[in-house]
Amino acid sequence: MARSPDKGPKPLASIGEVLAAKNERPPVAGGSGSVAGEKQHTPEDIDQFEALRKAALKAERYKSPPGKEGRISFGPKSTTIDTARSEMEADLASRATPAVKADEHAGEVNEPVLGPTREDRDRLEGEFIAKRSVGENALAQNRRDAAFERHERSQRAAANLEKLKQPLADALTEAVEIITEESPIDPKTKAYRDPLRYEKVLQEIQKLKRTTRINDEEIEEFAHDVLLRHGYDIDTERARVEEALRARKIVPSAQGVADEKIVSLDSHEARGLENKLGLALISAIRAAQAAAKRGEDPVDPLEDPKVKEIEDHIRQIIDPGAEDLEAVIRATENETLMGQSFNLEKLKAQAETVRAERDKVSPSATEIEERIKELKEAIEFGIQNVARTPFGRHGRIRNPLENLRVETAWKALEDAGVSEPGIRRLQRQFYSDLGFDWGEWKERVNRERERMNAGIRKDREKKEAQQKNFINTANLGAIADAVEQTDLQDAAVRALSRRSDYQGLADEEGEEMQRGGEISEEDLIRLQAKRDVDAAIRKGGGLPGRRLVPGSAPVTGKETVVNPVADKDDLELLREQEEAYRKAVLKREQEEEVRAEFYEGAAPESRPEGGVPVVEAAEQLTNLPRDESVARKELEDARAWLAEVERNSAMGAGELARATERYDKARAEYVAGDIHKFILEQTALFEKRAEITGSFEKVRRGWKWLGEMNLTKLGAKPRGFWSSALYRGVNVRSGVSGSLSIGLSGTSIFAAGFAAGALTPAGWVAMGVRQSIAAAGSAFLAYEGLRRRRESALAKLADDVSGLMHGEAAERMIQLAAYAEINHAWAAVRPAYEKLQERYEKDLEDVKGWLQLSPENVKDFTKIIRKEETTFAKEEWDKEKARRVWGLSTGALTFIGIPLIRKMLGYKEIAEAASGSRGSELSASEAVRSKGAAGALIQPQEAAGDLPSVREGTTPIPESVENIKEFVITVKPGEGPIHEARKAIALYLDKKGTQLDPAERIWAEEELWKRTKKTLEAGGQLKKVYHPGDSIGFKREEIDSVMANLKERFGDPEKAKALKEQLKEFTNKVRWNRYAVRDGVGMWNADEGIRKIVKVPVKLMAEGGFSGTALREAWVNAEEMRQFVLPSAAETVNIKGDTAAISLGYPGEAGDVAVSEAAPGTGEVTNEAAAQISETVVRQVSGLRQEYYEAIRGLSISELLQKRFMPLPFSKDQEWPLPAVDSEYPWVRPNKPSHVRWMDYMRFQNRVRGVLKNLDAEEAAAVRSMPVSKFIQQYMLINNKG
Amino acid sequence: MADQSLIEQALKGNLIEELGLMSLAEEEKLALIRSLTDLAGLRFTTRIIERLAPLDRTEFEKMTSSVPPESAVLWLRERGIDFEEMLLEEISRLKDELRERGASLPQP
Repeated sequence: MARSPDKGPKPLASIGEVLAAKNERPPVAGGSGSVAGEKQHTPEDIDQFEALRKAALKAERYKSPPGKEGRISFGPKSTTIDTARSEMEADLASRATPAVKADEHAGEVNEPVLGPTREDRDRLEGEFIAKRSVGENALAQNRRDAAFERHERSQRAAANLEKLKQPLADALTEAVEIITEESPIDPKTKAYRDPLRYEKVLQEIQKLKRTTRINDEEIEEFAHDVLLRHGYDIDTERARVEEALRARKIVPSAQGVADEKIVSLDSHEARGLENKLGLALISAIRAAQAAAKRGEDPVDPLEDPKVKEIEDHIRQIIDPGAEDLEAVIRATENETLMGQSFNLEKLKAQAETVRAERDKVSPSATEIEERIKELKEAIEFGIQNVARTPFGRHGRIRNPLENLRVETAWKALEDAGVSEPGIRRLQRQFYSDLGFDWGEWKERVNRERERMNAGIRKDREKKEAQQKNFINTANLGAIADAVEQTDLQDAAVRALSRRSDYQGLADEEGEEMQRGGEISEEDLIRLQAKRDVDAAIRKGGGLPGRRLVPGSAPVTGKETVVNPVADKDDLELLREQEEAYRKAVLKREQEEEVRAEFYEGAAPESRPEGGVPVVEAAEQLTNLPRDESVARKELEDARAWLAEVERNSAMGAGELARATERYDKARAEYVAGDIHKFILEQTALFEKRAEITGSFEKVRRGWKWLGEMNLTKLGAKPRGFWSSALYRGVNVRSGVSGSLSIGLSGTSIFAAGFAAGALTPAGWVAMGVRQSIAAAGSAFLAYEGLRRRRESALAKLADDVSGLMHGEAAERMIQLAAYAEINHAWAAVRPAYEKLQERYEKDLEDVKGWLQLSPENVKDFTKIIRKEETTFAKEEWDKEKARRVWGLSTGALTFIGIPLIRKMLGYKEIAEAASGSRGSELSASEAVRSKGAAGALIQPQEAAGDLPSVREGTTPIPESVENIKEFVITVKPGEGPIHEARKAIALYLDKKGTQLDPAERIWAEEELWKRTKKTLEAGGQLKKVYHPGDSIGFKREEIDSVMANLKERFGDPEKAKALKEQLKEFTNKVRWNRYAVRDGVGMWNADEGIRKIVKVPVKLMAEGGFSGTALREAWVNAEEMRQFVLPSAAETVNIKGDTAAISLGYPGEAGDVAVSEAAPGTGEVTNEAAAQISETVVRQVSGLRQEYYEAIRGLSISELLQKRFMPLPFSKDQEWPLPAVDSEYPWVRPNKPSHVRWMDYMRFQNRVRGVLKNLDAEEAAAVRSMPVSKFIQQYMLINNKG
Repeated sequence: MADQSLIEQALKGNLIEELGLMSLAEEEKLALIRSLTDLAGLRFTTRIIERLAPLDRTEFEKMTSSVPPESAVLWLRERGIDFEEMLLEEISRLKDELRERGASLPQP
């Protein structure tokens, strides 16, 4: 059982060893009851055992749950340590008894000593060791527990000690403050003022020593720490003060009496003390003034202890000599008092007044209670508020005290005289009463935010996408209708400026917050207005909810929500909405304007109810031009918005810039409108004034004449290269313009500086700088060159149509159409286009074979073409842009290059010619251009066309002709009822599987329409004119009847032959391939309708003999042409030789030719229609678009020839009229004329000149007064070279 | 005889800037200047004609269609009319009027 000595801690001695060591009696040799070396139990063993037992008992208490297996039980029935102990005691007693007996029977025969047997000893020892093992474990646990308890105790003690140290720390703080505030030198001892010797500090130290075991060193260490926390190093301070004392040679006295050196009155030390006295006095004066303001009686500064102290000091150390020291002191003090305008009596009176006022308004105890109650309620409100909306701006956690209501209540208590610490105590108490802990709340909210933010980003992105989608697709009209117009923009403005914290509030909550002072009444109104707008948006387009509402975080017993969504996006969102609102407002205003204009002339009863306010508004503005009222409204709106943005800085610099820009623009337009009005008034005024001396026309002509005066000839002396270049082209009129727009640096108009001004270089070009004309001309030439090259390349597309792959013809047609549409160049591309169209039609004839397309797929095919059309159009745009850029670049180079060359070469003549010499109809540059562009001026007068386009038809595809009751045919552009009858018969024959001769078909369709017309007429369904999209139903039975009738009348071959011969003229004019049917589908579905090519003798038109009769005759003889493009208003004319071919449609078509004849016999062709066609042909010959032609058609030829290349303001008569044409060149500038039109004008002008050259002088002079339209008709139709 | 300093003062300054019209489109500015130029010219010519004697008016009318405009300067000077000065005066007067008008309109 012995343990190894080198393993583990030394084991307790075994019972045997202990007993052996303690047993003084040697073992009995050979004794049966005793074994040599056997140890006996001693009292120490018992004690040791007892310790073990207690440890085991404790271990049992801590570790062994009752009733568990393996537990150590110390119960009365257990055979544990108690039993072992009693057994050992009994054993000891039993051993002691024989020993005593042996003593008692000494001398007697050695009787065997009775004791425990070996077995007994072994058993007891084994049991004991087992118990001891348990005890050891329990002891170790006991030690651990004790250590733990000690640690806890020390912690508690430390905490307790800190608490006990706090008064000492406070006392030290006070001591430092006093020392710092007063003086580091003790006034009595004149020595360093040790804060540790401060009376209160000493008291606290003694107290601390009494209540704790803290020693002096620890106290000193603690005190140093406290002082250091206040920035006061006691050692440093002591050294500093002592050094200062030494410097002043003041030796501290142990008795408290200063052994100071006496100094003279004029010494440095004396002056220092004087200053010190003054400063102390000033400090005392300030204190007195402050006390008076508080209503406290001011203390006389001369009685101030500090002042007294310094006075004493002065008296002690200064030797006044012959002077009266007291007088010196008084003088110093009086000087200071007077300098500070000190009046003690006044201060006392002031204090009295303050007290009186305070007494008047001083709240009673009840009032203070009321204010305390108010504070409590405000704090409760604040807590509930932050619980509802925990986050402020930028995600900051809101403080319950940071609201207006609390601040007001707090201030009220302060005014009532409650100190700040007192209010703080109240606030802490209220927090406690309401179960609110600020620190805990912050932690809680932060945790909540972290948890929520993890899943919120995805939701936010989704929501933003929804918002964006909504804004992009919102029905703005519906929004505008849903929201009161007057409030709409205002609401948006207010919504932008309101605090986003409130947007989750219900109305009642918002009102409650307003009552609580949390938000202003204005904010509340904004909130409600914003909600109204939101509701309107939802109504109009379904705005998704903007806010997530995460899990709740109840506080103060109220169920509230935490919304950790940051507010940073709100402004952007609202800004987007604001933009939408603004658009909605503008749209609504425009609609209202249209309505107002529409109903202005209408009878009151015809006006809609909703239109009444609009009309009223319009009536109010009747004294103003429409544009002005709109401009004024926009200016007012822009001003209001700018003011709002400036007021609300949260909207940011970007919004401010936008608002400013909008306002500037609105104001500029308004001012410009006003100036125009001024000009009109002034012009009218001077018109009247001119009538006094003559006529306004004379004045106008006079200015026109004077305005063209060249500045250089007037005496201007240009200086420098650039100036000379500019002056060469500047006349008086341009000078006036310059002086108005850029100002003049001197009194001479010829000293105009062109370095900077209100116009861009482009503006100066238009101001009349001839140099720029040359540049612009070069630009146009370059542009024209590129354009013609492109046209040439496109024309080659039709060079070899036979080798085209299927679909290529259509593709090239689209390319040509895209170019022609963009450049208005149908005349140039028409021949190639027609060639390709012919090929395309041929392709369509063999739909199923060659194109590998089934008739059903024709529609798909046309869709593909439509898509390609878009693509080609886009490509053509890009090319057009490139051409313009290149043209402009060339122009820019010319601007710089030409004068340079002139300068270098001295090419005076060219320069003068380029500047536009008087008396010449063409400037040199124009002449050069006209020569260079001679080819361009001769326009191929081809028939123009339109964009190719194929539209799906609506013809039904019957299963069996017997099952068909009626063939319903839809009218296409250019078609008449005969065409629809033709289609019906085509479908009928296809279903029947039979064929007819073209002549028979002509007869049949005429007969069918005749009968159908009667039926429709009888039923009141006959229309006078059929428009594209109308439908005509042809009865199958009627067709059966017509077919039977045909067979009956022309069944005989002779009769059939006669019919064919009779109708030959008509059958040859029908494009029968259009009326073919493949698998039940008519091939007319592949086109957009038809037009007729009417051919008219040019001579007839030129002589004015083209009447309605002639048109009718031409119409009858005209052949049809399929339209693969949608006909537009642009007509087509192609003059070849003596014949003009005109593409005409029918009434109801989108064409501009009024032919009231749908088909022979269906109407009358009037002389008016013929005259219109003549005019159309004349216009086509001019090469001008309708709007531009209309602008000059009434001018005389002489007026036409006065026009200049560019609309420079030489004079009104020299400007080309440039009408605004909607969407003509939207890529350049909407509704503005472009240089392309100027070029058209110039081409036409040159053609007119060309014609005039061929006339003799007399006739040429005579035709100068002829109107342009008449001139074209008489001189250009026949001579036109197509 | 107009005060030269006043004329000079009136001529100075960019009217487009002064009236806050820089935000207008280039074409609109141009159109405005053209109209103002015409107005200035009409006023100027009216004044010339008004200062001419009836016979001179007739001659002036004939000159407009027969001689170059440059000859008018000397012709007018012979009749006590300084072409340049009168024109400058008219321009400055118009600018002044426009400034006053602009001042009565809404300001930023």
